[in-house]
Amino acid sequence: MGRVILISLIVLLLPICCHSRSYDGIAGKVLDAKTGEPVAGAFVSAYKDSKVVGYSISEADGAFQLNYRGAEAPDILMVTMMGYASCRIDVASATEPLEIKLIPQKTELPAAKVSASAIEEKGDTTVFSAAAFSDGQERDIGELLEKLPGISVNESGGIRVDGESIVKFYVEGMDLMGARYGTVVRNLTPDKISRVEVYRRHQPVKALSGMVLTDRSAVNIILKESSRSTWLFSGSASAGAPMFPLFDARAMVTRFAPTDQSLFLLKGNNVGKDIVQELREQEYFGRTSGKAYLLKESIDPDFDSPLSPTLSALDLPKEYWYANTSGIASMNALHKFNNGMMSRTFLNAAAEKYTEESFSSETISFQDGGALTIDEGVSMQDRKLYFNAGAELENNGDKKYFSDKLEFSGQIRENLLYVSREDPVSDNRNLPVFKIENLLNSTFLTSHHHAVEVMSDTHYFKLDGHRADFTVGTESFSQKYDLSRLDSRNSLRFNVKSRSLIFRIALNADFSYSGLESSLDGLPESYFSRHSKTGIMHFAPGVAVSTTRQIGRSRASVSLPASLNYLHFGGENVVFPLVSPLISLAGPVSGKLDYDVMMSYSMSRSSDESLLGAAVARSYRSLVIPDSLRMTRALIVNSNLKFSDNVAMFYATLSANYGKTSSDRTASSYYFDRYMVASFIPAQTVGRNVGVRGSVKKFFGSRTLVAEARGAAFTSSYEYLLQGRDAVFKDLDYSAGLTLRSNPCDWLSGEIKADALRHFTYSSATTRTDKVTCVFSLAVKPLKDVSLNTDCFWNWYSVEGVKVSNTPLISSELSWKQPKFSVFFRCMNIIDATEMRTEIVNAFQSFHISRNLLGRRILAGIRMSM
Amino acid sequence: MKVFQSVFIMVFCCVNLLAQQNIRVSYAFLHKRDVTEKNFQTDMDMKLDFNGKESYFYSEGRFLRDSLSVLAFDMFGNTKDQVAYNEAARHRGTTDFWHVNYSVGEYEIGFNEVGHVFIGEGGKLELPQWTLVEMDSSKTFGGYEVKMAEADYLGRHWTAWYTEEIPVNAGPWLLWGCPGLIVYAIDSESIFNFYILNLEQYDVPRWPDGMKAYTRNSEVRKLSVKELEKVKTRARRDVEYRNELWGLGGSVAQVRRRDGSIDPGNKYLKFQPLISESYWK
Repeated sequence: MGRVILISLIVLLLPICCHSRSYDGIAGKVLDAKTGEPVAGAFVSAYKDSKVVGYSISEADGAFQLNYRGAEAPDILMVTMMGYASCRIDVASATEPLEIKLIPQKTELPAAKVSASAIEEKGDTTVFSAAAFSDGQERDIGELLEKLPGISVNESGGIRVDGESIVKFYVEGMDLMGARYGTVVRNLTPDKISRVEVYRRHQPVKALSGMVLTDRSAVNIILKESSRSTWLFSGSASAGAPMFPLFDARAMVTRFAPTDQSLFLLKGNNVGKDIVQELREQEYFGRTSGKAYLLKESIDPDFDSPLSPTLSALDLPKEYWYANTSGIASMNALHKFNNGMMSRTFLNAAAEKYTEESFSSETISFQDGGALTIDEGVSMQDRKLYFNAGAELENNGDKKYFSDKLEFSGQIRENLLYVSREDPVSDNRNLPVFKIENLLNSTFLTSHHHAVEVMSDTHYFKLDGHRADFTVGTESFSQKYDLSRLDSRNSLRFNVKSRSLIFRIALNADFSYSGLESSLDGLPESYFSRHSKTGIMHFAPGVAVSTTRQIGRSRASVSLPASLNYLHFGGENVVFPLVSPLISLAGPVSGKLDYDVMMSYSMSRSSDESLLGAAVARSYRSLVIPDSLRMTRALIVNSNLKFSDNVAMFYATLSANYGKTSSDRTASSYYFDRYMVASFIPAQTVGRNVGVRGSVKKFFGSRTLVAEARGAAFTSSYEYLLQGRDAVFKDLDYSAGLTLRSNPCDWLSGEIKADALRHFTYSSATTRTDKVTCVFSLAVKPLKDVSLNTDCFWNWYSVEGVKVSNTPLISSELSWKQPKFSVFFRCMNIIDATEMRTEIVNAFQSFHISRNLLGRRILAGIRMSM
Repeated sequence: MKVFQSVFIMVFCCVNLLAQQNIRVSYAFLHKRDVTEKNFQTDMDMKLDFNGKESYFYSEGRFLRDSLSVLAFDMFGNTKDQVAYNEAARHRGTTDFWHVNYSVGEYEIGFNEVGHVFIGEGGKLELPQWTLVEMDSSKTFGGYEVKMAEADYLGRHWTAWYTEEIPVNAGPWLLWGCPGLIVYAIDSESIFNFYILNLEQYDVPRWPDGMKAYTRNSEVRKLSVKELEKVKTRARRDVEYRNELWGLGGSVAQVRRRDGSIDPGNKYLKFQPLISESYWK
């Protein structure tokens, strides 16, 4: 019986065995070469004489069966699988059963470099391919961002999109740096990034998405796959002469992972780079109060007092004139918890010594025909020590948003000024400041159509012992200024959305207390009060109503904030209302053309500190008696047209503005023997301005040639009192400019930027100023790894018959670039120009200023990025 | 021990991440309505989502439009979110989509005419009989080193450039089977043209959930692939037939010229399907 069964089995199995022998196919298994684990989903294709004859996809156990049914037996097998290196197998030399071992290899996903794909639009998101716009010469992503249409970057790394400051800066979708994102913009090397995403009309609070509309944009930097979730290092070190030790060094370590991001930066130089600016807070999301972002020399505008010195900036690259030794350190860490909560901690420090040497000759003409000429040689030294530390918690959920930021900062500043003239002047200032700030922001989406926001911005700062000691000839006097201020701005906002209408009502309660003391000792004159000590309490409850309605494709907004201000100081009470209505209309005219029109009227008073009631010596020859809550009213009308064609890569803007400003007090200056006193007298002033500006920009390819032409006309008039008499000033500006940038081939790139300005001033006399500025840069690669970059800056101007053509400022750099590092040799100010002349002429004053420049310097070093 | 555990978990996670093959490729799709036309119609935001086993090729603009429409309209078709409605209107693109299931060797095709979604199912996936040309060339396209392959496929002769830098066998539309990602493809008559724009990895898949937005408030008609291609080709060429599909068959609008004559209008439009009509014969 057993034999019968055995024979039957053999008979049954025989055809199967025979069939398997004649099977036109290849069977095998795909395995991971490292772990030996089977690889599922690998694509196995078979070729005979380069022609596909069959394919198979590996199963869960890695097995595959490739059938080429009747075709000629293949000679090559190709196996591909993401995450592994492609494998090519010569069938003739392989033994069955095939065991194909794939070697794990992280698959790079480099962005494509097709010119037409340089820009991609997805609704409100515009995606720029980094590789398409980069010519390889950029040192930081700020330089790359400037090459993208619609984006501009300032020196401290602040980004503007279509002329507006961005509201958020993300790297890989996370906000590591907050408002101090300039550190990333000015230090992250562009070889790490894959693309740049610009989110227009970005609402950073998810719970308010679609509920509260914004006009501002956000920028998101997307890194290359190989740069994500790994530690990145970039750095440079260089030394040079003739000043010893001339140095420029930087080391930055970063990591951008989905749940953790870190940035550590150490940087220092004395070659003219103003790196301290990188630590400034940019205009950003979360601020309830507008800050004065115009003061260029301040890291934090709250640190300024009337005694803060003014540094005289020159309109040319800082490497030619900014004589400093500075260093910054920055540590930032961000962690995202599983529940969506995100924590951010930061610690920043900076130290800087800045010196300035200049000679000026100032002539002041009086209406009675008299004139006063002051010749001065100025030597200034400014030292700063700054620190800042804080932490922020944020939870940006779909229905709830919460963030709280606590921050400490302080600065010790010392300023020494020496003026050589007949009676030499010395001016020593000490300006210590300490500040603590808490910013709370919370939002609840109570239903699909209702949201409540709570915001509180509280800060306390103390300008403790600000002191300036002046010595003029043999006489001395001193100015002390102390201010401690607690400021709390609070807002409760209700948002309601109903179909196309969005309505918001905000209840505001602002409170501040300022303790103020000023003392001017040593001046014999007693025409004005010199000592004052006062405490000022300010309470301002207010309400702001705003509504936004979608009308067709346009969006109309009306906003009406109003507040009632109570001030109590020195036994007196002052009450005044402030209103600032705003109306705007914005939207697309077509898919490529957008417009916006905005009209606002605002009332504002100068700060509480203006109630000081005593003269403050701001310099050895300038005293100011504050303006006692000067009221300013402003009417502003702005309109913009913007055309963007991302397919043709053609962009154009046209904007017009009108402004009228009136004030109930005006500055009136009186000249004494040794100094000038500016006081504010109750007289109405009116200023008007009208301007039109436009630009067109065309990319021929993303890099081959970029041409931009711009032009503007601007007129302003101002009526006010000068030396007790009415005066009317009128200015008229015409400007035109052209920028051409080209990177036609790998070995050549260049840029030329020329701007011309004609300025008229009409008053009792008419003055005309013509100015031409040219910036030229050229990069040549004579060999594959060697590049020679040359930058040139030149300006010329003419004022009232005085023509000044400054010596061209030229710098050149030779570098040898390898994948991980480059070695460079840089010569700054090759021609060794030693001074920059400036002539300023207006109706009553003329200045001739000669400013010392940093001479020829040579620097050699290494840059690394890995 | 903890360090060892952490390292093990990290390595495990990395291996898993690498094993995930979720890539999203952006393509430009240029197509002519007829071989005689000079200019291309363009769809500049086509996406290929590929997860190793399946791929979806669709218009990003259309996907966003459909997704936003879910927010914009309630179940009765009334507008409930004006902002989403306005946003949705900004996005455009072809309604066509192609879905390939490599595991079972099948594909399906879909398109949408107002209120009606047509899905062609059960297409048997053929491997294009690629002939690899210039195997050792070092040409680049879009920054990738590419090699050329040619095949007769679905009734047309295709030339494709693929890159072994991205080791996946997928490509735009129904093109596949090269030993690397297809970054550029053109047919012999120069009617159709695909080229890569960008590449990224994605975490959250859009499909098949994306289909829910696509088919929402629509009548879904399932056909065979062959029948669907017939319906689509006729709908794109024959205005009256399309109106019929839209439910406009009962009403006739006519344009009368100033001289009193009636403008016959364009009853027939030019259209060339990607799968050649000769393929089905």
